[in-house]
Amino acid sequence: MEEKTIPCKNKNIACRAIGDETILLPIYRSSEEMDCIYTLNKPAAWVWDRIDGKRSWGALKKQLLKEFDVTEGEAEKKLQELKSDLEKIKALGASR
Amino acid sequence: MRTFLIEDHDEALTIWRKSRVRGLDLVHVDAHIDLAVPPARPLLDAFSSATSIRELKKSLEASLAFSRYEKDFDKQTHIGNYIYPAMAEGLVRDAYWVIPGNAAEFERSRRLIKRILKNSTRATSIQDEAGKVSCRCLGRTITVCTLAGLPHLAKAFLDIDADFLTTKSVRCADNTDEIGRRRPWIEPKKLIERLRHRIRKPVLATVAYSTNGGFTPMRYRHLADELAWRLSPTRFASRHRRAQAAARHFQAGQLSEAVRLNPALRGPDSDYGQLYLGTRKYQAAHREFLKTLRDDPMNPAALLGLGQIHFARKRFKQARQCLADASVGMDEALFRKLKSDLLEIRGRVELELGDFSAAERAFLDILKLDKLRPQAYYHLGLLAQRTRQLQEAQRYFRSARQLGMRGPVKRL
Repeated sequence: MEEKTIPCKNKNIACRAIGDETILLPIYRSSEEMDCIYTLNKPAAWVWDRIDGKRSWGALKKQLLKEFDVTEGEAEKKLQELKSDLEKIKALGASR
Repeated sequence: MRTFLIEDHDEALTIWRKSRVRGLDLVHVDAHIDLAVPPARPLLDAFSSATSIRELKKSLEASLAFSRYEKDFDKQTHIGNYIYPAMAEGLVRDAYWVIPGNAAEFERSRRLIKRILKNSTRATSIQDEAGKVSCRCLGRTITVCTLAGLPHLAKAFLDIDADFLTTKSVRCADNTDEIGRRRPWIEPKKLIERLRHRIRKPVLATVAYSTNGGFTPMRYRHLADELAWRLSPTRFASRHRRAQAAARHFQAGQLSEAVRLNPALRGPDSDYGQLYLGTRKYQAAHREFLKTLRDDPMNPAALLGLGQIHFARKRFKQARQCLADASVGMDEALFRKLKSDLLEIRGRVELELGDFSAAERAFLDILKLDKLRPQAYYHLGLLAQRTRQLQEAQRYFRSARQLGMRGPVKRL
């Protein structure tokens, strides 16, 4: 993962919390294509909240290490997984 | 006061919009709440208003399915939900649903009222108070009460359904309850007097006949004319006189004379046949249809009804003949709304008789009239299944399910 890259949210993804769940709804597709909504688990929701177009993946990793009881390797792996999942559902916009 | 007489209650929404009603209290005098939340709505609305994951999923599914077939969300507005868009658009401030019956009847119905309120508005909490029940919906208060429990209001608009007069309780408000036994429990004069006493300045009134579907029995259709006349005497005087004279003939069994004076009395629900059919009382339904046909031998609604009975009794050739006769008058304005029903039953008859191309034509014709009718997709699915076009069948069944046809499709 390129730590200096700054992730941005895709503007065509709506997000809201219902109870403990964070839900993502892609609104950029046509109704023909749209057949899913997505939920984020707690750490993923925590990261999603902090994707603001200013923090880099490296900064997010540092915050993650502070907040959760994980090793650097685990944090990096989780972030990589999340990045790949978010890219797959087109939840991320163009990175800087 | 501006008074509008309408056939079906959901026409009130168009009148309110055109009259530019805004932020006023609504007094809805009806045996039915008419405030269901429409299943489909713009995706972001559905997304932002859900209160649980389950509700969100249900709402998004309905909205996506709907938007695949129709872009205009107003097309899902019907007699059971037209108040919801009025509240969402800010036409209505707070709403009062005045139910039939007195205080004792209210107490007997309290549990049911709370259930109706919860199911219709999806409100999370319902307030129980003396003589009334209330909840919040779209940031507005909805109060259910009797006529006597209606508070004094300075300014409001009235929305009256004639079925209020002939349904003595919300506990028997289904159209198939008490078939043929409904009688007015309150006179129009008394109702209007009481409403005038409670509402200082009624701004506008809509009065619905609601004879379609048999909610107001046809023999009491004229009560809606009387309500309108009592609200706006000058405007509705002659109409009221004519309706009363026609009603006298209708109640005496002189259908031709009644229809001459008031053609609306010939409409699809001029007898109780369809209501009996709905409860599978075929003999009673048969009697009703024959009674109508004695005076009016080519009445399309009665012929359709006979066709439906033949179909239910597996007499498919007789059904085919009745449906062919019924289709002759089906383009008349009064009966046009039955055309989809006719096509559906015709398609099913042809399916049974093995004329698959006629069946397919009938089901596809339904979709030209109403592309949101799940039964048409379901029967097209059955047809495709019979002709071994399994992928096609699956596609049709999926459409039927998405459009709200749950039962038969779920089993596959």
